[in-house]
Amino acid sequence: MKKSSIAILFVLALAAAVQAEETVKIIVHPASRTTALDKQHLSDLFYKRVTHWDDGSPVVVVDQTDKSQARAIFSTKILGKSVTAVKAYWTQQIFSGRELAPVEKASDAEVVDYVRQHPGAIGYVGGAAPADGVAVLTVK
Amino acid sequence: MKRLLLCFLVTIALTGTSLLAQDNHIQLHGFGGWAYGKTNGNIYLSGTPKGNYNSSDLSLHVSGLVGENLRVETQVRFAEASEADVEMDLAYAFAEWKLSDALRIRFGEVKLPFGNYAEVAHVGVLRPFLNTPQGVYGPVGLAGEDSYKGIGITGERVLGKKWRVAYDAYGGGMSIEEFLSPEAFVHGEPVSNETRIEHEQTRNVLGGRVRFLTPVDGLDFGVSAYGGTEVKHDGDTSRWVADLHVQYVADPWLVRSEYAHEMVKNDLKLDAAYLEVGYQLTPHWQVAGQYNHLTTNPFGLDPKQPYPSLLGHREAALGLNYWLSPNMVLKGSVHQVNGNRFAAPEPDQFAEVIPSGGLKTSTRLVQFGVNFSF
Repeated sequence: MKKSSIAILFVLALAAAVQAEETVKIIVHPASRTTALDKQHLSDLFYKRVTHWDDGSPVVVVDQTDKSQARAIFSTKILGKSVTAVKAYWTQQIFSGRELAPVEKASDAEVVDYVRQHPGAIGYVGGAAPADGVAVLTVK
Repeated sequence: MKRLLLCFLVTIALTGTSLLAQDNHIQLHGFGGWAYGKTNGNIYLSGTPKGNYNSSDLSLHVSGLVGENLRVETQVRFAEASEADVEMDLAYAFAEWKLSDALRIRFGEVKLPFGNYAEVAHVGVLRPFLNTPQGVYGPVGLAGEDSYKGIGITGERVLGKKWRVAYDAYGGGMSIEEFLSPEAFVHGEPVSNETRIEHEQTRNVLGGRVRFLTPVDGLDFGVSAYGGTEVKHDGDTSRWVADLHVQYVADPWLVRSEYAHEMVKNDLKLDAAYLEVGYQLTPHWQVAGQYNHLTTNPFGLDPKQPYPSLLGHREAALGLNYWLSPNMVLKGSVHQVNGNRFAAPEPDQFAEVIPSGGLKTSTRLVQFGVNFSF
């Protein structure tokens, strides 16, 4: 009985870990007053269509490199597009002189570090990634 | 040295890395390409009858963020059309002040906000063929790959619940390249390689573009137009251009289409259109098709003039592409062209070839090349 309970707990923990890896956490600077955003608002922030928070302070967006699994999940689940499609969008924006792409970081840890150090910053990390020193937003 | 620089840039493109400095306040990007082309008689795009390896280009783009509201953008292009001929062109250089998320004002030389392609005409990774559809974007003086010099406003905002609208308005001057030789020849004017390209100047330009981004992901449509005074050696005249454009870009499809019309008072009317389709068979392989055409109707020209092919262009093309990454793509295409508005002999040969009946009105082009960006 005990062994079967342990086995069940192990399987549940493994499933939770796998599910966490298939999600992302949206993180913001610890001083941010924003606690929740819907997907449309998140899209507007990451596409730089909205560049200020409600309090008027500037939004600082940090993305991940296109090899990142977190980016693939974020692109499809939040932006509703593939990484390739989002890259094409930024290529168009950059070379038509319309906008700078967000800064890119190579790992969850670098994103957390960047968001912690930059007031107004918003980024994303893998669902199971540590998010020490930053606030995690609820996606409505 | 140029080839070493090209190899270095290709390496960076393959890694998908952009060069950054100082915490994203300055960004350096670039794009370029190379193509080999061979035709069965005339010269068209990268193709010559003997085969041409020399068509290559590289553009360097620098963006500078100066504070929260000021951005400076500049782009320089280097293009090699022959072994001894490297052209350098300032694509744009302007400063932009952001008044709000919905409104920015621009000063300087700014890429022309026109149609689907004018702002990114040389960026090969954004389209399925090595070249833009020539009927609208070829050197005929419509919009081409050029800029306006002056002042403009631009912005984007939500429209209703699910629509968005993007808008541009500008004023100033323009200088657009036109391949002059065919039209000059039908008018009985002298034609030579030295005078093949004219920079058509238009002053006192007012123009704009409105684009509607629909609730259907990837679908947008719009209208572009401008008008002004064209500077001509025999007297300035008014000129206006209008364009309708639509595109649907959502994996695996890429569909673009435009119709453009130009009227130069007492000089000519021009109509052009294209339909371009790309389909991603797999994440790497893409097939593409394109049809484009152009008809030119100069005023005062004898309708029975003997060389109507010099005023028209109809082209059908098929392409097959392999995307190594979103930043690098190998492209191959076959083009069948009827008409000589663009596909023509060297201008120095016009006087010899055309009256003797040697003009080939049909041209087949095979191209292979690469586009990259970083």
